Amino acid sequence: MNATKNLNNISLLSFGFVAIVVLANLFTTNNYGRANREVVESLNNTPFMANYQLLRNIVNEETNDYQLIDLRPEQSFKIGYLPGAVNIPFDRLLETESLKTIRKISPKIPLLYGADEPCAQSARLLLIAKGLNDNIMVLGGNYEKAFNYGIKNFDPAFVNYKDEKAQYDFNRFMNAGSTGSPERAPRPAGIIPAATVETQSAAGGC
Amino acid sequence: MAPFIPEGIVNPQLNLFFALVLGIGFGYVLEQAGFSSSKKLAGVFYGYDFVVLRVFFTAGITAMVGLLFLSFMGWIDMSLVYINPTYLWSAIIGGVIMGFGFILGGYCPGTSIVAATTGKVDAMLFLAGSMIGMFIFGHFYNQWEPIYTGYFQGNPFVYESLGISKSWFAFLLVMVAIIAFAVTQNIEDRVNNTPSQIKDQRPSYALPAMLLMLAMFSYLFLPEQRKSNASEIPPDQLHALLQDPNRFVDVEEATYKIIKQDEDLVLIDVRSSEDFERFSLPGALNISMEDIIGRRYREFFNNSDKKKVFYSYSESSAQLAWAVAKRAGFENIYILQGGLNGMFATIFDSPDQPGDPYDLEEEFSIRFISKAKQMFLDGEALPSEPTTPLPVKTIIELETAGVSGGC
Amino acid sequence: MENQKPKPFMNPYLAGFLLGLVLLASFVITGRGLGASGAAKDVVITTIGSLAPEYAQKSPFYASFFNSEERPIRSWLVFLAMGVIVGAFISGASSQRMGLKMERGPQIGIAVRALFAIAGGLLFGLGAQFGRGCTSGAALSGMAVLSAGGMLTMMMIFGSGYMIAWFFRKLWI
Repeated sequence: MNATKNLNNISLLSFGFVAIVVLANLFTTNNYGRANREVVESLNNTPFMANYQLLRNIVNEETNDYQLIDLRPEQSFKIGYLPGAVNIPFDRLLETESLKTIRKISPKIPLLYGADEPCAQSARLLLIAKGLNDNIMVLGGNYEKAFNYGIKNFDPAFVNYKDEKAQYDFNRFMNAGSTGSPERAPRPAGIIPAATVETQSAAGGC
Repeated sequence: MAPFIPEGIVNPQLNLFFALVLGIGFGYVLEQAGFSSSKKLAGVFYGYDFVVLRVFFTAGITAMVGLLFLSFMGWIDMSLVYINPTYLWSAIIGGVIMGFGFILGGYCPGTSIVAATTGKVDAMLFLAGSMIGMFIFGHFYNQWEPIYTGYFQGNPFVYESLGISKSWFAFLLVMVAIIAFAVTQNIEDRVNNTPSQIKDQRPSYALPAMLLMLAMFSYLFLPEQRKSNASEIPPDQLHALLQDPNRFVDVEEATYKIIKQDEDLVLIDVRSSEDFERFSLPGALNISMEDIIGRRYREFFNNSDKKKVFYSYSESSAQLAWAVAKRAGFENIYILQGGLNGMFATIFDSPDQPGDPYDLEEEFSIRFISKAKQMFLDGEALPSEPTTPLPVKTIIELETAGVSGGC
Repeated sequence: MENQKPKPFMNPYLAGFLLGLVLLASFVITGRGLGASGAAKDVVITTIGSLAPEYAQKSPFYASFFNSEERPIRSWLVFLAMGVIVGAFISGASSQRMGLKMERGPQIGIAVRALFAIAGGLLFGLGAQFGRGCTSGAALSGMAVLSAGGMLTMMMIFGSGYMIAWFFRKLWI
């Protein structure tokens, strides 16, 4: 009958369309494990910055709950790394093997560091976005700082070092108006002498 | 990604045009289905004609399945879709009153417009009556307000209220609908004593019903939802972009734009609002990570004409916010190299003399930096008049729709 | 079925499917569902607002008449309703269903039907305000997005309809 045929055709067509699109999608594109919104929530809600006291404890084997992960390229890793760290270069972070390694670390907490802090932070974001447990921590600063201030000459003044901190009293520059002496800007009120602030390498090597 | 107009993909000025087109489709289908007849409509309550139930349920399920499918695929952002708010007692009282109105009048507002168009006098009277009803509501609004705006439950989904999963609710709803279709057909035939040759002439609905059930059954076993949506870039690409040196805007360019008060570059401060209030770069917007992917700044980010530069104290937080925005598919976005710390180190702690007296480029750069330093110190880099905040369009329609209670 | 109209009505399931697609298109394009009573409300608000501004000033119900921010949504619903009129006309004319008449049950006269049509409309208009939408805006669109409020309103409309149907059966059968 005509009406039956039409109805059948319409339903077959719609069903087929939906089924093909869903199946094609299931087996291809998407490979995020968390929605962007969930990633943001996780970034905002979980405390994840580790300080150098914790690093010291790990290195001195006072705690066994963490696994250091070095994100720098292999060559840098070979020259030196924080004791106990495993090397997962940032550019290979999303390879299946790297993800497997990180998954295997649990129940220990992965503690990331790299050649700079943004890199370690981004690695954490990518791992969370891929759906790994968001219990991942990041060591403040970079490898050199962590090594110098955390291990070589442990300095309580730097124990909480991280990049994301004001190193100047910015308002004194911008709003001082003409009262500021033209010759020399007032010394920043930061903790660290400004000279130590390296402008990070644009190459983005981690 | 849908919905097109709240996302800024389709010009909002076309909104009224689409209203007209959708209305034509709406009116056409309602009339074709026989909703211009009050006798047919009232039949659903007396068992002689269940056309209302069939059309209504089929339409609801079609749209529901379509939305489930689109949101599963990440093609529609349900947070931008208007979900009817729940004001418990207002909804109950309103529903009960409307039930009375349906029995007495034989129409509902939508169908009465259709019926009035085709010349039904009773529908015109019904429409006039409904305006009187609205006037009465407005007249006694103050008395009714506590109920009308009280018992607010937010905009919950029905499956949340029932405490079951979305897919199970959808599955059960479809099953209920199919069973209702079969049962009501049976009742209708008995009430009308339908002759058997008419029954035999009816099309068979076996295949559509089976396919629908199969689809809903499979939906139960699909993973919760795709975690990315159509406009997002895949993780590998995001990973590659995070290593791309072109993601930075260097200090000199940013400084130049600040001094020039160039409006093609928008600085986005991703630090906390307290930090922002204490100090921020001239003209910067303070946008949190939630707001980057939220609806408030959607149009601003979707517009890729302006260069948007994220900054924080260092590159750390800025890069995170940038990555979130990049993943969302926004274009023409950058990170301020070195962040505020790096910027101030470059401008205020750079040598006044070039290391190599013959390097012209370095000399230019140093001259520029010392000029910039001067301007910052003198306050000249600050805008002479307070900059007007960027027009950030909130989606008024979505937010006020609940208040105005438009049906 | 019992209609002897020039052209038969569309298969209800097909009509439902098409209506569902229109509704889906509305969500996809504009982010909101369909609605009908909003346009009637706009007529009320505009009329009262222009005829008796002082009166309207007193009630927040008319706030949107003075508040330009709410205008967009109101005119959207008005355009939708204009579209409904056009669509219904196209359909009615092409199926030869146009013509002035008044449908009523076999046991009642024209005056009774007229009275009840007005009363029904009045109740529906009142209820649609409490329900924040009528059968299309609250019930149908609410069902499509699985909103608890919309589904609740829908169940109340049909629930109360069935509860009182028996008492008013003389109107229809």
